[in-house]
Amino acid sequence: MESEKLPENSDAHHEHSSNCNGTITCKDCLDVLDMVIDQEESPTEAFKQHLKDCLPCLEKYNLDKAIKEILHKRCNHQELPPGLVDSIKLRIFDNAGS
Amino acid sequence: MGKQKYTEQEKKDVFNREFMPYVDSMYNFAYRLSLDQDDAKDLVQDTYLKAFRFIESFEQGTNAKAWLFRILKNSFINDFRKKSKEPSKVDYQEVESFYNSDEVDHPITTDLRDDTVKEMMGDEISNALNALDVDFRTVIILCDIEGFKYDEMAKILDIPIGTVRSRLHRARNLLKEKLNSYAKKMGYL
Repeated sequence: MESEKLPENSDAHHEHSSNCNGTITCKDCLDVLDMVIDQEESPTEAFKQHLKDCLPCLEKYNLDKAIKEILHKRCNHQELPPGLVDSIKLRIFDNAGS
Repeated sequence: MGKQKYTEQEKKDVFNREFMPYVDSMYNFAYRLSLDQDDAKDLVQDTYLKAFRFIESFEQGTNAKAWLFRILKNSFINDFRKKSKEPSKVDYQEVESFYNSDEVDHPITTDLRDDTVKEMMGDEISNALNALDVDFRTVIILCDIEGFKYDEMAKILDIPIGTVRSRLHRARNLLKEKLNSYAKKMGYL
C-alpha cells in the first residue's frame, strides 16, 4: 500500500525547532512548505514570521521555490515536430468524414 | 455524468476549440514521459484519436487539459511502457515502498542553494528530472511544469491527494539530490 503520510523528520534541520522564536515550529513550517510553494495554501502570518526568524527554513523555502521556477522556465517547451497538428487533424477528420 | 450528444460538426468544433490548444503541453508531457521524440509523437497522436473517439464523455467547459493529460498518461502506461525501448525496471509499488522506507527518509544533506540552482543551465535541470523514475518524474512535470493543482493531479493519476503530496515531496527530495550531484560535478559547489 502506498503511504499517504508525509515523512516525519525528513528534513535536515527539524532539530532547529526549539531554537526558533516564531509562533510555529520548523516542523509546522516544513509540513506546509510544499503547499505554500504550490499555492495550495496561503502563507499564514505565523509562517511568514517563521521564515523571517529561521534561516534554515528560509533557505529551504528559497531553494524549493527556485527549483520550481527553473523547472517551469527551462522544461516547459519541447518543439512540436513539424506536421504533427496537421497529421492529427487529417487522421481524425478524414476518418470521421468517411 | 451523462454522455453529451454532438453532431459531427459539433464534435469537430469541440475538438478544435477545447482540445487542440493543449497540443504543445501534451507533446511536452509525452516527451518528458517517454524521453523519445518518436514515441512522444505517437503518444500525442494516439491520445488525440482517443479523445475524439470518446468526445461524448467530455463535458464542455470542464477541465479539458486535465482530461487529455489523463488519457495520455493512461496510454503511456498501458501501451507505451510495455513496448518501450527502456522498459520500467521495477514495478511501481516496489519503487514507492522503497522510497517510503526509512532509507530515503534520511535527512537531506545538500549544499544546494537557490542562487546555485538559478545559475544552472536548462540541460542540467532537464537531465536531473529525466534521471528520476517515471512516477516521480510525472508528479513534478504535472505540478511544477504544467501547473496542475493537487486535486487535478489526483484525478489524472488516479491516486488520493495525500499520495500526490507524499509522492511530490519525495520526488523533490530525489531531484534535489540529483541537482546537488550535478552542481558538485560541474563545480558550482
